[in-house]
Amino acid sequence: MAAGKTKKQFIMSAGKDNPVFAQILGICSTLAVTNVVENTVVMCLGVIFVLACSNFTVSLIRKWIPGSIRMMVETLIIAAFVIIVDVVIQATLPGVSRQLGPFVGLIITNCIIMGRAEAYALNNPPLPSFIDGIASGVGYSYVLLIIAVFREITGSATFWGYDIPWFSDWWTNWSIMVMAPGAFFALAILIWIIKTYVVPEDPGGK
Amino acid sequence: MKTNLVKERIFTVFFMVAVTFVAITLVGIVDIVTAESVERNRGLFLRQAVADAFGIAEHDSIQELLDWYEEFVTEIRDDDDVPDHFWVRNQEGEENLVLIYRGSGLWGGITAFVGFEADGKTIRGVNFQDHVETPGLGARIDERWFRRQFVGKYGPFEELRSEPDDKDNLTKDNQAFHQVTGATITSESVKTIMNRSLERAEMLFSER
Repeated sequence: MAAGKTKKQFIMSAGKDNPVFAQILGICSTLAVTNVVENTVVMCLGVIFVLACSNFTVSLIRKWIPGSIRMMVETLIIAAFVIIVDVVIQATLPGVSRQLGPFVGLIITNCIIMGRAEAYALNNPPLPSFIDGIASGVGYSYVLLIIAVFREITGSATFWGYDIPWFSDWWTNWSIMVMAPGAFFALAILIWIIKTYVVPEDPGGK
Repeated sequence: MKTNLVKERIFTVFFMVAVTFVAITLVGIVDIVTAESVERNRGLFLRQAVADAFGIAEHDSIQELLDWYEEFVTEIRDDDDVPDHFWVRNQEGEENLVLIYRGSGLWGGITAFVGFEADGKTIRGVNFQDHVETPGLGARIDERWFRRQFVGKYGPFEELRSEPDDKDNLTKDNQAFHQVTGATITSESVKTIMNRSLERAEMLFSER
């Protein structure tokens, strides 16, 4: 029963309530890091970790957080986990860290994380909050990865930095796809496809 | 009633201080644990950039790179104790120069490591570090063909040519290089960086 509920919650958070295409949250990083798949994967792992840990921690102390300072506390918790991610990436993946530059630090301002802490973790027990964090992170990640794969292949004719056999030789790079406007186009097309064919909006909904 | 309000406020301040303390302690512990790796990575990047600008593309192992650096490179630091340029001895005992030039690109700074032959003007190699140029466009200045085209030239660079399809057939013109398609501003920045580096190399050799 509990497993079924968890599964349903996971599917809802990553699917119908997806932070990117349903709630349109976290768009800035969607635009910034999705021109190369490798950077996107690292960014996604960072966001999943921060989302899950900050949701769990906020939920753990939710009964004691004074209402007047709750957003300061949430920001502090999120910032601490983001700095940990940043330092660990610098220590273990220095090349990727240099390419991502300030974007890892900017996870602090990713509205998905604060949004889930406010909307979910403050009102639910730690374990479901943790699962909600992972689910929201996974939902954010697969949208970003779809966009990143499309942008890197069309914009640079490569995948994960490597030439693609039978493709890279003849393909003319779409330069706009590696720039921010290309991310807007790719995201808009993806949201349009998903909202039209995969998760159509309820016409009777308010 | 008033006492409750005071208690509530004291608790709020105490809670914030406690959360801050825990968060800072946690971050501090992770920072201390990873500090050595982060510092080692920074050092390796610097040494690899110097080797690359000197014309050694790769060493067989990290230890070999460290040994080479230790034996052949003299690091000169500026007034702020930051590495500024390097005198690199080759097998013949000649002193070559690798200098660091910090210029500006499209979105931010570009740090270039430029290597020169012992004659003080012929370029041995170039390596670009710490830039935030657009991936897929300006960031392609990192590609080997782009950096390789400066080797053996002594500028000053005045002409930017279009990017060729055949990267093995690049211009031999001393005062020209091929730009990256779609990255005109970055390519212009590289031109400025290379010309300023040439001037600086001349100055450093004359002062020596």
